Amino acid sequence: MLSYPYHYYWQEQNVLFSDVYRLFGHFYYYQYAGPILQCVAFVVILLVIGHIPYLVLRRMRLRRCAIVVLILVFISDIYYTYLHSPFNHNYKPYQYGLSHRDFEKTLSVEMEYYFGNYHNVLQNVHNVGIQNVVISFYYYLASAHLGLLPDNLLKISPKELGTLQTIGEDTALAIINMMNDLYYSVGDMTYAERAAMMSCVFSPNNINMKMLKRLAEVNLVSGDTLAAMKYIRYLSKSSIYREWAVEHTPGHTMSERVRMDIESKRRYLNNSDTLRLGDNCRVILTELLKSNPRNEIALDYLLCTDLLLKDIELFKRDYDKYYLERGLERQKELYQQALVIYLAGTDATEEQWSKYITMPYVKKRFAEYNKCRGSQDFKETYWYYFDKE
Amino acid sequence: MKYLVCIIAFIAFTSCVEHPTNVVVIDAMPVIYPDYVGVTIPASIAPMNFSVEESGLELVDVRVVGSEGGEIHVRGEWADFEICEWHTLLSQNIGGTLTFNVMAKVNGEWQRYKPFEMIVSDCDMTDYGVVYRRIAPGFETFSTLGMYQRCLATFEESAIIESRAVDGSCMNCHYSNRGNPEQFSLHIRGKHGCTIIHNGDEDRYLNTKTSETAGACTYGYWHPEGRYCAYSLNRIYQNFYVGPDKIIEPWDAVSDIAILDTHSDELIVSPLMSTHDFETTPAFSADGRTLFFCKAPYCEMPAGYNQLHYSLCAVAFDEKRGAFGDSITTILDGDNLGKSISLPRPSYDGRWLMFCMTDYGTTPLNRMESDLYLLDMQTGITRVMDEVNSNESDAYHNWSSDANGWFLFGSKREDHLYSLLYFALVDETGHATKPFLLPQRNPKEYYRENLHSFNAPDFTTRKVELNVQQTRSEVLSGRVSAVRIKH
Repeated sequence: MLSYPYHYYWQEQNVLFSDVYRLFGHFYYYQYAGPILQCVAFVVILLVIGHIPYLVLRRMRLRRCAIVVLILVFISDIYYTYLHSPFNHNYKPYQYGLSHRDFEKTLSVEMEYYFGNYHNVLQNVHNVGIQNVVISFYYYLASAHLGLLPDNLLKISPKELGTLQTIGEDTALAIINMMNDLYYSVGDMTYAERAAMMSCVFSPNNINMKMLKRLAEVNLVSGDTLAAMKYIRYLSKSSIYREWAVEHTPGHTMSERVRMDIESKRRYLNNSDTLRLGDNCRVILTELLKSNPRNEIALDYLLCTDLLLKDIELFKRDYDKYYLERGLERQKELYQQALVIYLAGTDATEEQWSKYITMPYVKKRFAEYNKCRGSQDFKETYWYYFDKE
Repeated sequence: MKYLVCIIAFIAFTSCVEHPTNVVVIDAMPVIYPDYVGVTIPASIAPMNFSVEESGLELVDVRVVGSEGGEIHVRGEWADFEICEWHTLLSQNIGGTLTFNVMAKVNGEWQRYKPFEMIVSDCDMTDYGVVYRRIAPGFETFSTLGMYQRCLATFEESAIIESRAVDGSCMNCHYSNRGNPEQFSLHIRGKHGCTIIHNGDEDRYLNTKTSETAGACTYGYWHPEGRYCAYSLNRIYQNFYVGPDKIIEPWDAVSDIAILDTHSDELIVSPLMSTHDFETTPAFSADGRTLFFCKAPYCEMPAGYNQLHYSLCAVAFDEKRGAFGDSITTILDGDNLGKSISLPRPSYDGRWLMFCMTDYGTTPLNRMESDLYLLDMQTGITRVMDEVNSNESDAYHNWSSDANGWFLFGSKREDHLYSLLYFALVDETGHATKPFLLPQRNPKEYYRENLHSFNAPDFTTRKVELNVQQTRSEVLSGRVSAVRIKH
């Protein structure tokens, strides 16, 4: 687990402490302040301000002067921390449609993903007890990194893979901010760069440190050292990101772990040089799979998207083309369940059944499901999702 | 008592100034940022401040000596020259050289480098400054952007108009008539879209979209007499690349050329310039009798995006009649060259024509192979300007209003991403001096922390004055005049 409240990390990424940082030379995090707390702070400020003329009239002595100075510091503190802080005033969590508590819970998933703690992401999702698209998105992404996307696809709602989202001027900020993670994970560096740029553009003062890191990573993977260094140099100026910047600087300071990460990402790069005629994720994923059939994250996202769309024929076609024909050996129950639907619906021969269904109990369980279609006992299965959701 | 305090203060002050001792002599010039070694500068340019690129750097000590006299000495984290002292030194050394003697304290040890020089050109650059659009690249969108102007003699930058003044609408390039701030056009895009024609004290707000033309006015260029402004009418789209090497490819679905008569608000069109082919980026010759532009044969877009080769063409223009000539002359054939030409910019004395050349397409700023080329209008010889080009995109050039060879251009050589402004001087033989980056007070900090591109730059002879409040109310009111079509 991370060491301090999740919204501190969010503030670090969105550079919401710069003024105080410049004043005192250390980072200072804003606190949540809901409407009630803001009202209390406002009343306190009014009382203190009202008291100052009284003190002046009483001809203050030195000690009282010190008290007034302390009170003014206190006012400033309340003012910047609660009442008019950029965090609460301009970028407050309700703008994301979330209460403070839910915002913190949502960040607990997003930030654990950001730091690569994928198991923590899965654990937090089950602990937080709330559901929203951001939580689902990072749950699926963490699952995909662990090779568990088909296993976890039906475990939560809403089922937001991100593959049906596109980025445009009307896209919600929360969606824009997370899409670069999807593109980067599946290996599409062009769209990861585009999404990160867009996210930066819509961030306070056009700067978002998380996105600058992503832009640096994207360019390192693409091999554009000149561009990567632009962002790494920028990040190295910040005490929070300096260590990261040193670790990612091409040359002798780059750590072995980072070098291997970059190398593994490069294997997934798209090697065709044509124009893309839209940001349909299906096109992106199939192009990536053509370049690298072993890109399991892209493959799982493609197949799971087909399944969420309940397009079984398309799923079967993709399964054949990108899974069977390339001799992949991973067997996932979710895919088996979907294939059962296809085979049962097409009066498949016994030979086809044995070709596709390698988990015999799936066939048996399907027979049981058919006796009580839509039963809650099968809530975890794709058949239930297919029929009921 | 007063004198005693002064003496103590003086002693205390002078005792703080460190005198370099045990100086190690380095047999090389210092590596400085920006690379100003050997550049040629105009006498009016702001201080060419720079940093020394050494790890463990503590102090920089620079003594600048003019070949015709004068000297400046600075010491600090970077070479930060005082503006008045700098201009005095430059005015003393017009046509001469400045020698920079650089010492750096690195890890507690002073090092002396071989001196380097800058040449102070006797070609004056009298322009007040440069105008550009500063934008954080978001590819398809933006949050805040603006048109800015920067004084070339100092570091002062001011906004002409920012997008927040017009409710966040996008703004396109500012086109002035040879840097004249009294006459320019500016496009506002989006809901409150219009073309602003600023002419002296009068601002006109025009809707240049018509049912008969391909699109709204896009790339513009003023006729030297100031009545007409040529525009390409483009319908622009863009697509992303699949592979990681290139990012985005803007392309025109349709593009034609028309000329706006600013006296009558008429858009002069001609079948010659409104064909099925793609005509774009017009520019009038110095005498105003010829209109240069780029033209590519029609192909299905975006499928044929990498076969699109624009040629450099010209057509006569009769200013008295306000009419195009009867035929088009192809000056450089893009298909024959296997290249695509864009952004022709004739020098204001008519001697040169500078343009960009890329492998294909129409937006050089997005193409890293984009280079500047120079056509000698007297001999007809074209040469690639290797002395100013880089491995990254070099484009969006414009000539100084002095018409003595100074020009600026945008280049992404710094980081492949953000376009920055460079200046150079073309001599009588058509060769340019080494380009120098627009000076800043602390260039290393400024450019390394910069996350904006400097788009569509041009010179301005004086400071641009735009009544932002009035512009805002007129744009938001939606009171725009429709242009009429004149065949």
